Amino acid sequence: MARTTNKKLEDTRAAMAKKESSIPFQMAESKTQNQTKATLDEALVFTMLCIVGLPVEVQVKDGSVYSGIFHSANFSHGVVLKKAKKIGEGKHGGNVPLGSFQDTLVILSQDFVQLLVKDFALTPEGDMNSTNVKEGTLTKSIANSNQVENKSIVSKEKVCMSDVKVPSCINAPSTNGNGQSKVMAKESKLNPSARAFSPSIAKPRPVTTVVPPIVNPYNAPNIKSVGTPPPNGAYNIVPPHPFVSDKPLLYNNIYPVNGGVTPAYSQPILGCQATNVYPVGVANQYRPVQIAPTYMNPNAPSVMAARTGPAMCMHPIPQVGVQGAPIPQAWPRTMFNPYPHNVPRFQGVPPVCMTPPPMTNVSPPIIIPGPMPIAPTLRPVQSIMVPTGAGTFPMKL
Amino acid sequence: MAAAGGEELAVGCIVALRTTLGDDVQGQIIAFDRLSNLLVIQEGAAANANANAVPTRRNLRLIKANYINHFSLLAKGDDPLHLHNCFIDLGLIHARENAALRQAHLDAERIGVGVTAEAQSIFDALSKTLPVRWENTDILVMNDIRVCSPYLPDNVSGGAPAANERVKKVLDSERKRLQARGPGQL
Repeated sequence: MARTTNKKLEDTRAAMAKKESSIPFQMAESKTQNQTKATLDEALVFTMLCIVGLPVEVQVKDGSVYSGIFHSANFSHGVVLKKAKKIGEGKHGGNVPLGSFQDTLVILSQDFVQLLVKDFALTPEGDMNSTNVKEGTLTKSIANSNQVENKSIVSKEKVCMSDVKVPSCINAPSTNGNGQSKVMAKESKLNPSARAFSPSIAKPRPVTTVVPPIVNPYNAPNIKSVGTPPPNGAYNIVPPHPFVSDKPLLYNNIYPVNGGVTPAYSQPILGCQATNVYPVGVANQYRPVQIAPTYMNPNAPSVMAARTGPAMCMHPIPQVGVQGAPIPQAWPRTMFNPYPHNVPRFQGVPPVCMTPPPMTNVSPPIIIPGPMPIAPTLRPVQSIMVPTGAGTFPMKL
Repeated sequence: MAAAGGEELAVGCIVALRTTLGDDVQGQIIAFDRLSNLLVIQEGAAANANANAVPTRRNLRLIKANYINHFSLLAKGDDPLHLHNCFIDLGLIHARENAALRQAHLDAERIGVGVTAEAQSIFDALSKTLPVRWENTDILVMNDIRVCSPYLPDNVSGGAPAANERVKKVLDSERKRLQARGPGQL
């Protein structure tokens, strides 16, 4: 019985290794099924994943510049920034006050012009094995130091772009974050000839299905979208009452800035799909979120998403700015050149930005069953395995 | 993008372009995605066509090709990315994002709400040497000593006498330093 089981395991491993050797990515669907389908450029996908969590600046078509932490992107819908604030005023005022912090900012794709990541090199200068290689760049030395037997399980936790060499740190569970992977990477460096550990196939790691970015309603007080909402109401306005269940938060459509209608969600969002992720324009497909409003401005023509933490007042404020924070007359920190516009320094204005809730009460990631439907206008793409905070799931490209 | 016509933007080429918003960018093309019409350019010393050029910052830009106004090819080059050797540590990315969010949260808490620029400057100066936090429009030092508007040494109250004096001295010196730096800094 044991011999039969072992033989089956060996056969399975051999079959998987053979299959995986021809596929650079471990995908949920067969690659042949997607060969004729449009896919995002792999280098673009790699780039997007590398810049997740980095501070970026995004410029929109009216010249406004927003800075924040890059969270995810769906270039058929928009770019999602966390802890974002407007640092450059454009032609049009927009619905985001200059200098105010937004927990989540969605910049619609029709308004997106460019994204800038400062002091970040995707390619190393000179030698590929240079020690000056930054995170997210090629680490050839690490990639070649270990081999992994079971790529299917490994790829669920790390995107491996090589069909041969995979670092041993891939085996670190995503739920443990960075710690275990660092330890294993360190061990591999200490003992390059050490055999990499690969988890048994008999105990596969739990894999969640493809889920779109979802939001943690208890930690995402204010969500803003830059751009016009679709007239069909694809982006639901969050009413000021608690929702029934904990599902992705719908973001508000306040003050359409620029024209454009975004259709229903049709393409997955690239990036780490963990907590505090907001689906762009997919409100209808999610159950509402359990949210309790804490602050609502009765004069606001429209409201932000209700939340547990301090809310963001969204009413038009004639004078806005980050109180106390010097608003530069120019934008020396930015690389963009928005429309010339003297930015006044506002003082003594009632506060617009309230401190966001502490990050400690981050709820665990919310798992949405089933993959996102793909709009008929976009062809399904290949998926890569991207882990969430609670597990792993394949992510469609 | 009118300048590019319908041609493929060759990966690896070093180009100089200008956006419709007036930004001049020079760098090496990392990727071009037709589906999203996005161009990924790596700026920096390695991307400079002229070896004697002043080293620029290594920035990464994702530009929508629709907004490229002017485009010129400076040099040809190989694909800088070898995707077969690339891997991404998603756990590290998660950790990095969480750390960045925590830091952003802390940075946001440092910003006073309803305070003047001068007050913010004073707060920032005090925070270099003392543990401070905002409490409405008051600066709370060491959770004990309060500095009220207009944030003069005379507005320092609370705490032990020694600590109070210390805060007053630090506040006074920081105000003088800010004044010496320039009237515009206050």
